[in-house]
Amino acid sequence: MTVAHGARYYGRTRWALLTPLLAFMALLVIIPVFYGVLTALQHNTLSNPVISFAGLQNFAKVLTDPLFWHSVLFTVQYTIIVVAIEMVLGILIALLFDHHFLGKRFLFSFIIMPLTIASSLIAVVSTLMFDDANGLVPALLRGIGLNISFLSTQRAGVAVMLTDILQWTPLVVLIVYAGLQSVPQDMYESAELDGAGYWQTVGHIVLPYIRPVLYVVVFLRTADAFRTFDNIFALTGGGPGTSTTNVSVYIYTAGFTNGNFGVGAAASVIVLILLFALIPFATRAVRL
Amino acid sequence: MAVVDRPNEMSTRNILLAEVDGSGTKHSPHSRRQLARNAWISIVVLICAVLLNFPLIQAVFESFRTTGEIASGPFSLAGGLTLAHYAEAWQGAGSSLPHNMLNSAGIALGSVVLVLVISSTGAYVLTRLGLGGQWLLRAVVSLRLLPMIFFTFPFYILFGQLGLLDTVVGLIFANTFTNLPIGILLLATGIQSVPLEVEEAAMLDGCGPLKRLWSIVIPLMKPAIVSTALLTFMFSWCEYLFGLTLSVVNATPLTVGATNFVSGHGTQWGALSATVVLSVLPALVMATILQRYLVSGLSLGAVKG
Repeated sequence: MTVAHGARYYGRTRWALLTPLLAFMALLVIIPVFYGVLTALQHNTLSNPVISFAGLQNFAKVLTDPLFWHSVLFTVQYTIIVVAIEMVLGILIALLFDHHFLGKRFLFSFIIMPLTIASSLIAVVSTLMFDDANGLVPALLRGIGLNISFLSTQRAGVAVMLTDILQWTPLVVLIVYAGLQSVPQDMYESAELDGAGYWQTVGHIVLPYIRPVLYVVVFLRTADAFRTFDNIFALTGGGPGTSTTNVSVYIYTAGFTNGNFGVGAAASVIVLILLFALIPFATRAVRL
Repeated sequence: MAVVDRPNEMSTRNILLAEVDGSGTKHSPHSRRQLARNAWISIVVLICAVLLNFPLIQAVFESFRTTGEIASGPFSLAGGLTLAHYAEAWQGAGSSLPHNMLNSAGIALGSVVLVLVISSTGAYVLTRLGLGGQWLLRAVVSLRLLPMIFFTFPFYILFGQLGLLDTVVGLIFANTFTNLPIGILLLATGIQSVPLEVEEAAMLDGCGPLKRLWSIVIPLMKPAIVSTALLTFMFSWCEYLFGLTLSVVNATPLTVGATNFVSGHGTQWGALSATVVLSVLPALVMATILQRYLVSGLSLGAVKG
């Protein structure tokens, strides 16, 4: 006999217990999804209170806008670059943590600190950090003879990617390190007996063993980097010009800055569809 | 059997339920000699940690330097240290920091309560009382992969109709929505870890489902509750997009207030840095004290996503 079996005696209670979840889902998921799709099909601007049916005009507007495709391209570049760098750095640091060394506990707390800080605040401080006159980063680089203006049109992309890397590499460290704890000790021992060096052991035995964990981290970071908004908007606002406008900033600018909800909502529906391309990865990731 | 307890997921689940706090060791028993030999690792990791925390370090550094020194160059410390920027950030003319902090605290605490109520009852019914089950659990958990920007327009319209624009309650709803998937996920896993026999015994004694949840299951899954509360608090405290789109003045959270500071005050780096340091502290201190729950919540949440 199980608890679930006995549940039929409490039919009404269990529905009552499920009510908060169902009510919340109806109010904040089902109605909004309906509103979102509806808005995408309407002429709906902040300046004109009269809402009328637009058919697919908003979608046509977005799909023929060169800036939209520019933002898609920037988003894809951004995602590939930051996820690749975060994975490599994160795995290397996690491998270091898999040794015994002085100050390990303290350094672990120190290294995961960026995870507890708002991305928008990291970006705000980065305006200072990258500032030509006062920032420590340009000053240090000048010290080794490099004169780089980070918030210029050419370099702003690098600056926003750096804020992402600084903040999210620690998440890769944390999850990969947790995965490394599951590698059995005798795997290392037998590899050593077979005469394998450290990097051979890591490349052929350890990383393949924790592949499911690596898969999940790549998937999570890809999904998050693709839709990132906070760090870019707070650091550059998508500029200078439109050089750091990714899809999220494009949607925000269309909807809230330019006040055209219909176009913004249409663009967000298109991005949602683009994200569905990631679903095959998602299903593999949760199956593990 | 519910989704979170499928046998082929057990291995990964066990991996991450193992305590991870940086103290683990698995290579040969450590000795002083080994620690000395691994001194280079301490140094390399320290350098990585400093680089990754560079924005925060710059903010702390700048917040204690006098305005004169800031003007005279990025490294100058000649004029000594000052707390003036903190006073200015907290109570200077036009400072909205205390107001914003109060808003953020209200939003974060409200979201914690709402997430705990909805996800503990919801997860209990879905995992133990055989209602909704797999399908609903999967639906809720996969919500967190949706881009939140999609929801800004419908929330703006809906909250306008409900009179919730620019209110703390509105932002509590938005943040509860954001954190519900991870809450359901962590609490469903927590409930699975409570042995069925304990509940069956209580049931034979005539305990109803609500009483079993409240007086047996919840006390037995305190770690999952703490993880959920901590992550919800931290993510709500750090939330930016909904704060930006759903608040104007009254409900503005810290994250939005601090970014307004940049555009509103030009390059008052000292006061800006002090504002950021004060904004970061509450969540940072809490997460550091409860680090064990932060780590288990983040890694379990990642793997179950």
